[in-house]
Amino acid sequence: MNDNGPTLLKVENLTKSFPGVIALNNVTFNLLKGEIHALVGENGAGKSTFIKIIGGVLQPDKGTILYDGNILSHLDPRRARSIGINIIHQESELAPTLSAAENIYMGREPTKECKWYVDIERMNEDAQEWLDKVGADFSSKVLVRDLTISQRRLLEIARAISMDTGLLILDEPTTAFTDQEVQRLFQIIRGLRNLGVTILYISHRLQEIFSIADRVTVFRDGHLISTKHIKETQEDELIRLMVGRELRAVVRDRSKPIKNTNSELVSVSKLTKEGAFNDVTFSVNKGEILGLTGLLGSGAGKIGQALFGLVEQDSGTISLNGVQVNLTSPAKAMYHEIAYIPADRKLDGLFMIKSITENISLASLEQLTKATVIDLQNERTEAKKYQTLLDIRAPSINQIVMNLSGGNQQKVLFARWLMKQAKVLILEEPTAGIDVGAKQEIYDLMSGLAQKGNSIILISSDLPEVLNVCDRIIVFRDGRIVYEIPGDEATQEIILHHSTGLCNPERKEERQ
Amino acid sequence: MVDGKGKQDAVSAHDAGGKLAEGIMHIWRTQKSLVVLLFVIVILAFLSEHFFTVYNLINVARQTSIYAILAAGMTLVLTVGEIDLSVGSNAGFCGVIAAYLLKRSISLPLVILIVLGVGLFIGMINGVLTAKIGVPFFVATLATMSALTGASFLITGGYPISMLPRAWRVFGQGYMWGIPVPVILMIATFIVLQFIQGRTTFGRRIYAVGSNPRAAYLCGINTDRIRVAAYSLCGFLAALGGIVMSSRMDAGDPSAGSTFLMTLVAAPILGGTKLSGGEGTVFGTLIGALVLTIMNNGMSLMNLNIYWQDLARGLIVLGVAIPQIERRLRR
Ligand SMILES: Nc1ncnc2c1ncn2[C@@H]1O[C@H](COP(=O)(O)OP(=O)(O)OP(=O)(O)O)[C@@H](O)[C@H]1O
Ligand SMILES: [Mg+2]
Repeated sequence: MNDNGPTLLKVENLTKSFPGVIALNNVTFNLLKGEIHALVGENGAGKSTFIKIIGGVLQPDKGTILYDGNILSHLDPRRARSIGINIIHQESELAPTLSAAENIYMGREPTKECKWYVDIERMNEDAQEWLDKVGADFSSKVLVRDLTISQRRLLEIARAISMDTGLLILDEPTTAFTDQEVQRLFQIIRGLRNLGVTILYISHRLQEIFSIADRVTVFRDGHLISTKHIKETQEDELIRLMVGRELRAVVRDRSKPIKNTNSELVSVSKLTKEGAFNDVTFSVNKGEILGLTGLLGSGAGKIGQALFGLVEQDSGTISLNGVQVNLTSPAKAMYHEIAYIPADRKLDGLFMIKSITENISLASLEQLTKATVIDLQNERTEAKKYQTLLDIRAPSINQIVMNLSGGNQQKVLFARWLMKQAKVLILEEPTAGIDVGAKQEIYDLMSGLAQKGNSIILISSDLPEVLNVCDRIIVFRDGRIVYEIPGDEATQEIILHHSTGLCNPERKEERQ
Repeated sequence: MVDGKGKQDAVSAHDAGGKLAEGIMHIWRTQKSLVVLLFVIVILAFLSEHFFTVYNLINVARQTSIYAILAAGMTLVLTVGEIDLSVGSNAGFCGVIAAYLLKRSISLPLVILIVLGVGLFIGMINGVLTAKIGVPFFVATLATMSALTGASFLITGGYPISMLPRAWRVFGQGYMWGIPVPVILMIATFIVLQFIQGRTTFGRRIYAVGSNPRAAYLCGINTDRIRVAAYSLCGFLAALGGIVMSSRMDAGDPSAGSTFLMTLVAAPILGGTKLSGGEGTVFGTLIGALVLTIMNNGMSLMNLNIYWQDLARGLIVLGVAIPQIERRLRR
C-alpha cells in the first residue's frame, strides 16, 4: 500500500492485557493526516481498547505512540484533549442530570467578564447552534436524562465538533441512528475532513464504512490483521479478515412454513398518548416477526415501551390472545409473558458491576429457585448455555459485565431475555454494537423463536436488519402508522419514502 | 459460530506466568478486610501477650457483637444504594422501649416481640419515606435519627431506666455452651443474612436495585418494595442490637447508640461494601467489625489513650477506601 502524505499518528508494538485476556497484541498502526480511517473487527477484537489508549483513558503495557511527531507517554484524557484528540466513546459519557448545553461546555463554560460567572445565555445559544448543526430535534436546555439514546448520540457529536480537534475518533456513533441521521453525520464528517481533521471511525455496519472511509483496518483477537484502501476491498473480504473464515450472507430463511399464523397474539387498538403516538392500531400473530420502523421520534419506540408497561396510554387498549390487559408496569407485562430489550443497554439494561451469570439470570430467577432459594448450580449451567449460544466472550462467566466489550455486553442483555422464554418479545435495537457474525446468529435465533409460535416485535433503526428478518413492516411517522407492507415486498426506498413523507427521496443522490 | 480458539490459546499461555501474582492480587482486591484483619492480629500477638488468651478473644467477640448485628442491617441498606443514619438511635430507642415495658412487668417474650416489631416498623417508616414518598434518604433517616433520640429522652426523662429483671440479662451477659449469648446471636444473624444475600431471590434483587435501579425495574422488580424491605430488615436488626445492648448494660439508656454511626459505616466499608450500592457482603461486614474491635482491643491492651482509637479508625477506613476511589477514576 502506498502510505504517502504526512503521518498524524504512529503506533508501534502496542500491547495491552487485562486479567485473562490480551486485548491488544503488538499492534503497529499508521494514520495519515486528513484521512477517514475505519476500524472493524469482531466483538472483543480490541477496537475500543485501542482508541481508549490513544485517548489516554487506558495505559498500554508496552508500545509507543507518536502524535504529530511527538512521543506520547503517560497520557491522560485531559492531555489528549488538549493536543486535539477527541473521542466519542461507545458508551455514552454524559451527565444525565445536567442540560445538553452544560454537557457540551462542561469544563470550558463561557464566562462573563468576571471569570467566576458562567454566561448561561451565551452557553445555551452557542450550544443550540451546534445542536442545530448536527440536526438535533431538541433544545439545548433539556436535561440529558430526558433524551433518547439517539438524541444523546447527536449531543455527543455536537460536543465533539464544538471543540478544537485534530483527530476525531468515533466508536460506533451510529447505533440507534436511522439513515437520515447517518447521512447527516457523514456530511459533518466530510466537512471536518475538508477542514483538515483526521477521523478514526469504528462501526459494525460495513455499508457505512464503504461509503465514508478512505482506508480500513481490521482487528482480530487483539491483532491488527490488515489495512486496506477502501477501493481495493469488498465486504466479503473484510468479513473474512474479521472472522478468519467465510461467513454466509445475512439473509433470513423465510422458506420454512410458519406455524399458527393468523392467530393473533397481541393486538393494539386505537392506542394514543399525547406527544408520543396517536390512534395506533395493529396486531401481531403467533409466529410472526413484525417490524416497527420510522425516523427519530416517529413513535415506534414509544409503542414498544407502552407494550411493556413503561408508557401509560391516554386511551386505547392492548389485548393478548383476545383478552384486554392493563399493563401498568414491567412486572405486569412480564406476568403476561412479554419480554423487552431496551435500546440503551447501559442505562436501562445491564448491572455493570455484577457478573455475567447474575445479569443473565435476573429476570428468570423464579425458574431457578426452589422455595425462593436459588439453585446456584442450575443457574450457572443455564447461564453457561446462553453464553455458548450467543458466543459471549469473556475469560469467565463470573466476569463483571463492565469489563466486557460493548458487543458482548449487548449479547448478555439478549441472553437475559432469551432465558426468560417469553411468548412476546419486544426488541429495541437488539443488535446494537453486535458484529456481523453474531448478528447472523441472533437473526437465526429470532427465526427459531418465531417458528415455535412466539411473536416478535422488532424496533430497529437498522433498515437492512428490518428488511431482512421481518415478516411484516409497519412504518411510523409523527406518532401515527403511515404504511404497512409484507417483509418480502419491502425495499429500503419504499420504507424511507414513507417514513420521511417525501415523494422523491433526495437522499439517494447524497449517498454517492 | 465464530472461532474463538486462537484467543483461548493465547490466554492460557499468558496465564501460566501471571497466575500466582494474579491470584494474590485477586485476594487483596476481594478480601481486603481479611488481609487487614490477619495483619492486625499478627501485630497484636507480637505486641501483647494478653491478646491471644481465650478470655480476651471471647471478650473481643462479645464487644463486636452489638456493632456487628447493627452493621449487618446497615450493609443491606448500603447495598441497595442508600444509607440509614438512624440505626444507632433506633437501637437505643428499642433498648429504652424494652426497659420501659419490662418495668411495667410485661412478660419477657411479649417484650421481645413488641420491641422487634417496633424496630421493624421504624425501619419500614424509613423505607416508605424514601422509596414511596421520595424524601432523599439522607434527609429521611437523619430526621428519624433525631426524632428517635428525642423520643428516647422524653420516655426516660433523660435518665437510664435501670434495675431490669434478672432474666433480661441473658441476651447481653448470658452464656450458652460456654459461648456468650450475644456472640451466638451475632453468628446466627450473619448466617441467616449471608444466606439471604447469597442464595435467595430477595438478596439478588437487593443487589440489582443497588447497582442499577432503572434496569432492575425493567426486569420486573418492584424496586420500591425491595427498598422498603431492606430498611425494614435493618430496623429489625437494630431492635435485636438494642435488646442485646440494654441487656448488656442492664438498663435502657437514651443516649446509647448515638455514637455508633462511624463504626456502623466503617465496618461495611472495610468489608468491601460500596457506598454507591450493588456491592458488598454481610460476611465482609463481620470481618470489618472484627477488625475495628480488635484494633480498639489491642490499643486498650497497650494502654493507649482512647482518642488514638478514633484517629486510627479514621485512618484505616481511608486506607481501604482510597484505592476504591482511584480505581473508579481510572475506569
Ligand atoms: N476493563 C476491562 N477489564 C477486563 N477486560 C477488558 C476490559 N476492557 C476490555 N476488556 C477485554 O478486552 C477485549 C477487547 O475489548 P474491546 O472493548 O476493545 O473490544 P471491541 O473490539 O471494542 O469490541 P466491540 O465491537 O464489542 O465493542 C475483550 O475481550 C474484553 O473482554
Ligand atoms: Mg467496542
